[in-house]
Amino acid sequence: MLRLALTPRWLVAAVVLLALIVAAFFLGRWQWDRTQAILAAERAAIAEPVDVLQVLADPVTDPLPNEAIGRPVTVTGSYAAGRQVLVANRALDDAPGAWVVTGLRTGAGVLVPVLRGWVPGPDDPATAVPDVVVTVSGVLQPDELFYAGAAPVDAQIVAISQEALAGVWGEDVAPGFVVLQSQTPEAPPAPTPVPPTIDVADVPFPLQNFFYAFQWWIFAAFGVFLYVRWLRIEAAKETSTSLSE
Amino acid sequence: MKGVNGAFLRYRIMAWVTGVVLAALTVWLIVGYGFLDYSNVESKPALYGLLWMLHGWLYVVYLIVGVDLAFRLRYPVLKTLLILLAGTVPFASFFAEAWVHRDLKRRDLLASS
Repeated sequence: MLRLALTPRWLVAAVVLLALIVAAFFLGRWQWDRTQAILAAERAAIAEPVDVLQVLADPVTDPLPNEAIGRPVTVTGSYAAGRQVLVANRALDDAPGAWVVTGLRTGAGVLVPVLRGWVPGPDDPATAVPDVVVTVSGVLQPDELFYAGAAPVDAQIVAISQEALAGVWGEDVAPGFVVLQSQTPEAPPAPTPVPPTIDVADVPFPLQNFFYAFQWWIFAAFGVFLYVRWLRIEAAKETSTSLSE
Repeated sequence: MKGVNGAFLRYRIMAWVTGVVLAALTVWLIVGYGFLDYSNVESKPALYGLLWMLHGWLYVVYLIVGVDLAFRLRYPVLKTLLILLAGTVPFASFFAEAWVHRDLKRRDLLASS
């Protein structure tokens, strides 16, 4: 078989095969790099904060789109007087306290719940609602699902949800809430910002390019298989003809 | 020539399935990029990408059943390669299937059923 492989005809075949393997290898690598590049671009695109109104559904009171969960967002508007509620029993570094959720009214009139942060108690001066136009940077979170149906206790809600907030405030609010990370201008005294529960938005995986990468490598392996198989068939033929002579 | 009929049936199914999917995708591609602004990723439906993925794997299966058939029929290298490549060219797999079918009839290798 080796002698046959070294004949000019089979050497040419081997060179062609090698060229195909090299080509398939690099085509696979190209698709692999594309997979990574697409992922990186998608991740970079969602790491860039966008105005919250761009990621909410239409109409804004519809449930939060999946791709909006964990998105860094900005909200510009003014905190609405009387649209603030405390979330009971929320500790910060083991210190008992509550969360402060305040509705931020955007220029378009949408009331967006903003989790401004943590306070040690309901009488803390930081619970005062600032009376300035602000831009809040934060991360969009979905409604909290635990104790979703729980009734407010002492005017404090148990879990943050569109339904609970709409019930307390008596008007429609956007779904989910923005966890404040920074605010311009600052308006001290302010609650202590808390970290978001979900801080990485999901991006679709470029499965198509990922598969294409593997398929190119499968084709390369297939080429080797064909070459060996044909070489063996021809070698077997030669042996049988030389035997019959 | 053992198992030629089974191998041909498998090849036939794959030639048609791969061919139909590829033909549909070709039409879809032309319509999509020509009239529906698919160069903008946002307007590309998920099913379109899924079908291309499906075609990729269907072609891998097509290769396997195609090479199995070609070896059983002792096809020469060039003919085998043409049959295998037909799975990547729109509509070509239908002609490849017809070509093999005619050849089998001529060689009287088809089961009488």
